[in-house]
Amino acid sequence: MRVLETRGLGIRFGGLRAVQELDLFLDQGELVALIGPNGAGKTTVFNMLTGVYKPTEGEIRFFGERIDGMSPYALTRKGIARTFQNIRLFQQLSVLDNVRIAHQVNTHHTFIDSILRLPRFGREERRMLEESRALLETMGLLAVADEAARNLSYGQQRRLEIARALATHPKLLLLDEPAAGMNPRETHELMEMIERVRKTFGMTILLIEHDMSLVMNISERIYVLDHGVLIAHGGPEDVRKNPRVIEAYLGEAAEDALA
Amino acid sequence: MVNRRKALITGLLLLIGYAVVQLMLSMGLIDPFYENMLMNIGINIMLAVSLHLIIGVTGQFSIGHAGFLAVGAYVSAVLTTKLDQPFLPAILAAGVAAALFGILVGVPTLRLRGDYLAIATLGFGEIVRITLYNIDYVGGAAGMQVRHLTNWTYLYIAVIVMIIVIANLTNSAHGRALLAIREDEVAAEAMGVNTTYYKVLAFAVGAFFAGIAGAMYAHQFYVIQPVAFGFLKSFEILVIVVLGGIGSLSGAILAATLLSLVNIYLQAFPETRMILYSLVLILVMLYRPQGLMGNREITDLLKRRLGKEA
Amino acid sequence: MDWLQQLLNGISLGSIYALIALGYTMVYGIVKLINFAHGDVFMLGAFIGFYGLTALHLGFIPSILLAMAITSIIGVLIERVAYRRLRNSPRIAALTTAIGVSLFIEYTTIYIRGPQPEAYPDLFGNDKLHILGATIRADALIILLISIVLMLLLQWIVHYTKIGKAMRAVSYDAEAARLMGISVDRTISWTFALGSALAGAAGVIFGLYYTKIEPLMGLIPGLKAFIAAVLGGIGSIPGAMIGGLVLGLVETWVSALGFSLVRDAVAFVILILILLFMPQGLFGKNVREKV
Repeated sequence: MRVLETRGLGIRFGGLRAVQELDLFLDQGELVALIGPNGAGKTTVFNMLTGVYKPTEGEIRFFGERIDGMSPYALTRKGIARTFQNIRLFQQLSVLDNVRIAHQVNTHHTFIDSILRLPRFGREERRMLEESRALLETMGLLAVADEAARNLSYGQQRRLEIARALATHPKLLLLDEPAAGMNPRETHELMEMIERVRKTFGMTILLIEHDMSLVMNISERIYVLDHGVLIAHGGPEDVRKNPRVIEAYLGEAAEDALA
Repeated sequence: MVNRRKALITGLLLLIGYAVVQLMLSMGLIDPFYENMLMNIGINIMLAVSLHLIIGVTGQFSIGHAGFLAVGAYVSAVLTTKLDQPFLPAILAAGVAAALFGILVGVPTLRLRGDYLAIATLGFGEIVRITLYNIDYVGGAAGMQVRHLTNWTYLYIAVIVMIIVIANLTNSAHGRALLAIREDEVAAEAMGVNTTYYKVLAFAVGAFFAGIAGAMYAHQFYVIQPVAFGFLKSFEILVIVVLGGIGSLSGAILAATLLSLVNIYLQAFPETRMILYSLVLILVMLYRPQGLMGNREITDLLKRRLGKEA
Repeated sequence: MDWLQQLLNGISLGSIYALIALGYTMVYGIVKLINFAHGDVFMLGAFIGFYGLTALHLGFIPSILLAMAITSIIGVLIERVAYRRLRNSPRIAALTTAIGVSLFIEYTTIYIRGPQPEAYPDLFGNDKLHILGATIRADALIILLISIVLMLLLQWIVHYTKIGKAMRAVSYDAEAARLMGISVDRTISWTFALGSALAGAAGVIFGLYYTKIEPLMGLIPGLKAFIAAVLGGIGSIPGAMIGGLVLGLVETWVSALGFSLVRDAVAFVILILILLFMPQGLFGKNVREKV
């Protein structure tokens, strides 16, 4: 089953075509990576898929339904959740509250119920609490549930970002460089955890990554973006050998060497 | 069951608190000076806590709160003095009218953040004041004479209802949505929070209670004039919230009480009062930006104390 | 023929707004702070000019220069004492502090010299000029002349001097500027000095034109000048000038049409409309938040 599909997707910022003519798709249960050098437009793609930016060209379909131009919260409610490259937790709130906020997508009590503390309020809040605690347990964060998010270690914050995204009960999970800033051991653990999440929840995942080697082992297919254009698509081995990909990454390595 | 018992005890305490003051008032043990002081404190608590919902909980930097106060004051005053309506419907109408204004301000200013929102809300407050100034029906610059109808019972009920509503709202999924907006609007939206709806909700509820405070204010001080609802009034309310600690409801209540008392003793020296206010504000921002309470509540502190003893 | 006088009134008011707006826009461009106290620096300028003219018996130009010198020092002090520590704090904290500074200046002024207004000495008498059949006030032309000179001077400073280049560099990217060896602190001080000097000059001009000055006079022109800066595109120097002129003309036009009572509300309506439909203003850059 096709979860996500884009056709001719593109966006202009003034005169700049940040992303153009992007066709990509994800099937149910797949783990697909979107890679490319710095500034290739990966995060811009995410921002279009999650409604932060409105695409200027093309269309996005989610389970066959056109979703381009919808607002971020509506897309989250439809089942697209994301994490942020530069961690954006609710810093002053507790770990538990971070997850509970995401859970409320599925609550049905109104603010009147809350104010009057009607029975429905108690029921819903209890359910939310239980589900949130269960999720924190799965993600190994239950012990720090009452800590403020900003007091967490870097790795824990990254995990909480994923937990928070999962709490919205997504059908599609978008992870934006989840391993950024992690050491090799943490990265390895994270990749294992992503695998586990995918199996446990039967999740379809699109993963942005800067470092090509990281995603080779876990993704089924890889899209490579450079300067806003798709330059390669295929299985890890095909992509690894693709001369255009090598060139794109070599160019960057050369730039790094000069810098 | 623990919760129900706690609620019962709290309710009982609130009732006793009310009854004791009411008894003292009717026996003449509280003279008019202190009665006035009590009313002042109550009104300031309403203003501070309603602004706390907008600034402290939702993180929307609104500095036009006096505009909502003015709407409530004038609407209720017109109803009681010009249209001879009873006080209770006038109070509710004041709240509803102010809430409508809250929605009116909330909707266009939603896209604004931080300092832009601040200037826009300030502009809103000024527009309200200037408009009132130009309406002859409500007396223009001279203002309106209003009957004295506010009493301890009305004010007490209004304050308690407001605190319960805002506390219950804050401690619920909806309140967490508001907090999420304060913490990070983009992330909140990505977690499925309809930020537009919640910002308008915060403005509407905050304005509602500011409007009720306006009704209490108008019917306490005999006369209302546009000049009393200018930027300085908004600023006074802001000082209370900042001093109490942005994000702390009990902080707002404490600071409102404290500053109302200070105010009364400084009434004879208005300039000194404003210099003191501004200095306090600057010093708090520079050396204790979290205010008296930070974003904690008194109950958190009590809990910690009890936890240590146990 | 009273339209020419109206036009000139609008331009005079507009150039006062523009001079104040320049300070807002430069400061905002560099430290991203609405310097709420800027309107009060304008007020101080008016009073310094007044005492220069009356108590010190200085001439017109020396009084303006005195006002500019003292207000620039005050501007630098404000930044040093109140804003510098808050550079990396939440915006709410900085803005609240700025409001505090504003009120502190206003009420300290009242405390020192009382709340009563002063009448500016009449330097140019009732000189009237007759042009194209229209009668215009001579002082309106002088205001215009001074404003133009000051704005040209500012343009020159920003584009051709070392400090101006440093200001542009810091407003573009403070971190990169620091790495290039630019002293960010000093540049910010200079920005406050320049902006405050312009506000000080605007204060003297205001006093001359409208004759009445008082300690709370800074609030409304200050807010309106901020609106002018937003209208022109905050951070843009030509934007502030144009924004000020447009606002001055619109306000004069609204009062000329007989709606003088709502004149003060017009600016705020413009502000809300601009923020909604053209948040980048006339000359501003469209800045989007990085997600």
